[in-house]
Amino acid sequence: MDPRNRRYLFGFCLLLFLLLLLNVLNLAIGSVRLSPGGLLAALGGMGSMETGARILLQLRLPRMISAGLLGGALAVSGFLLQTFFANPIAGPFVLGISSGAKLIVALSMIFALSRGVLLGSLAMILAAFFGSLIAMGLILLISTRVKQMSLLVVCGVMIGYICNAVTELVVTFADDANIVNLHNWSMGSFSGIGWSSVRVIAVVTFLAVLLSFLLSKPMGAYQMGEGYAQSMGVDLKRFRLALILLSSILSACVTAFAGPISFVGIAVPHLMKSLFRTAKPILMVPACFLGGAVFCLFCDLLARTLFAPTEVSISSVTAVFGAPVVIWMLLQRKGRRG
Amino acid sequence: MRELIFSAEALTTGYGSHAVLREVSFHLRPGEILCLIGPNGAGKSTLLKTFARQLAPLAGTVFLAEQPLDAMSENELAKRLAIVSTERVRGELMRCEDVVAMGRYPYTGRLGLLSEEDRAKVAEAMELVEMTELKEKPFEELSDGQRQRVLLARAICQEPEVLLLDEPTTFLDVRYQLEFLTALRRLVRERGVAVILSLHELELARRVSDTLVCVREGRVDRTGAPAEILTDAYIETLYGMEPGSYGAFFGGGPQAAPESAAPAESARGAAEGFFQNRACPHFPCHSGVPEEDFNCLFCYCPLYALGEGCGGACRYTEKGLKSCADCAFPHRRENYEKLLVRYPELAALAGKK
Repeated sequence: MDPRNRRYLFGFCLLLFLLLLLNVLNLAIGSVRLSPGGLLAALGGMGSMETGARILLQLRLPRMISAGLLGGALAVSGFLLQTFFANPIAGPFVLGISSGAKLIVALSMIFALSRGVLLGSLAMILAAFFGSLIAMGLILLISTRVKQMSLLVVCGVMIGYICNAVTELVVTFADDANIVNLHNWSMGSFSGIGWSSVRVIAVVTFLAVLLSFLLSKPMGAYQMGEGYAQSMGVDLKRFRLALILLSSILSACVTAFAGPISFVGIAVPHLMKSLFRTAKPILMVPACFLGGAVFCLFCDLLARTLFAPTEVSISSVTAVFGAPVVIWMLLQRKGRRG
Repeated sequence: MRELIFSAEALTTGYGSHAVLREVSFHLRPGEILCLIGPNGAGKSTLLKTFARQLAPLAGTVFLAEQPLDAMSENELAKRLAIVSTERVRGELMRCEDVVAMGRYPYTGRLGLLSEEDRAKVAEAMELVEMTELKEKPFEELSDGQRQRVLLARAICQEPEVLLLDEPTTFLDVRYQLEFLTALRRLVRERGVAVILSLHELELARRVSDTLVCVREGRVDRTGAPAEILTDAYIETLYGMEPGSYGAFFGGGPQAAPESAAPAESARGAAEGFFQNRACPHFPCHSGVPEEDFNCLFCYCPLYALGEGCGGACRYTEKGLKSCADCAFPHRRENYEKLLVRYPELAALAGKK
């Protein structure tokens, strides 16, 4: 077999193996430990392990599935944004898109709660999508004036700060009853996601990732440069719009259910490029999806077990593992140029 | 007589409402090479962008065969017309072969997977530009000359009837210039492709093209065979030089392009090594030198061929213009000569690296 194909095969096998391993660990480890036998029994629906089964089916399984799906969504969203801006440090978090989504979700949540209504999962996604698009619009507006990518990222971080400040303000003046709920969410966490939400997450994520995968041909051409993509027959306007919408909906989905999560969108695509030694979208989209899932499952496992029973916010854990990867990547790039 | 493959009729093009070039008309038959020459900023790139439909014309029409360009679908156009532009290619983690294979884009299916036939065409294109041994090499590690040949192979893969090349030899030293143009000639001879290219090197333009189109001051100044056009007097008019300066510097008629001249010798032969093109929209493109002493010959600075060995921070802007931040020989009148004297030393130093 061609050594490159062998590398790709190895990469995917490794990712699948890690995914499986982390799935088992995530189900087994927690305040109540379950043995592998117990796991199987509970999953099989046998009655002997009733508490275990309930913990597994009501808490750990939906949490595991959503952490995996949302992690994958985040990584793919990051990869799309990096392709769009031709910038390896672009991602939904640094460009302020997650924070924009968070702001609008917080506003809608408080508004709905003040009327005594609880927002459904679809409404949350829509609010987050709307917020993402506003932040994205701002970034695009700035990008017409600012050509330098590092400046654009700085602007994105600033937009993020502004959105966070407004969110904090809104939370401070909201009714006490809402705050606890909102505060937890705005820190970022996979906890408390129920089966009904998992269903919505699964449908949205799978559709968006599938559509992204179908965009991999024009994405590959776009990676070379706009002019070349256009001369090879890419309809730039439509392609850019599709890229923006897909990355926004993916990151919106994450923000709506788990709050803003940092660095996954930058670190995972970079790790995958290093693992596969290619940036071809047709490989990178599925690889980022799997890699993001593995990364988030691993971080979530740490977030809930490290200082149990207290949970650490998922964003702090992803930052601890993601930020060094980003620094390593920047140093590597600098080295290559110098 | 062969049919026309490409023509422009009363074409006016520019950015926004600002017209850069007016009333351009010409035609091209299969297997012909048409070369655009003219000073920096005269609108050569703008014209090529319009031909590639990256820029909409302000007036007039471009025809590919008999069809107006804007009536064609993206994919149809991509199958018939390819461009090698001055846009810097981002080739993150791409091997040469990947870059070349990108040229099959208009022919592959939804996911862009290559068929056996596509692979064969890729191999054939790499063979034509003699890059087959380097196909596994990362694109980012190539020299400028190799990159340019890979990009040509990419365009060849697109199997166009018309090929547009925007200053394809700008980054190249004389050896690579010749290799590149040899590959281009082969392409024209073997496949009957029609080529439109812009060049700065007049001697190359003379040797390679069937027709020259001279662009100056917002219009096409002259069109015709190279031998008729490239006289010393006309070159001086075209580039806005002082009468007599071109012949004095290059010793009567463009024997060699500035970059390709053996620098020490031309320094000896140069009367002064000085000319100004005040019609250039970028004039004076650097501050710190009195305007009357500003030497436009630095636009043809041979140190660029040395890359980092030049000693200053020499680079190309996005438009392909040369721009050196901390040049050791600023654009002063007398400095071009000094630079030519120093060139062999610097070249030797760069070679050692």
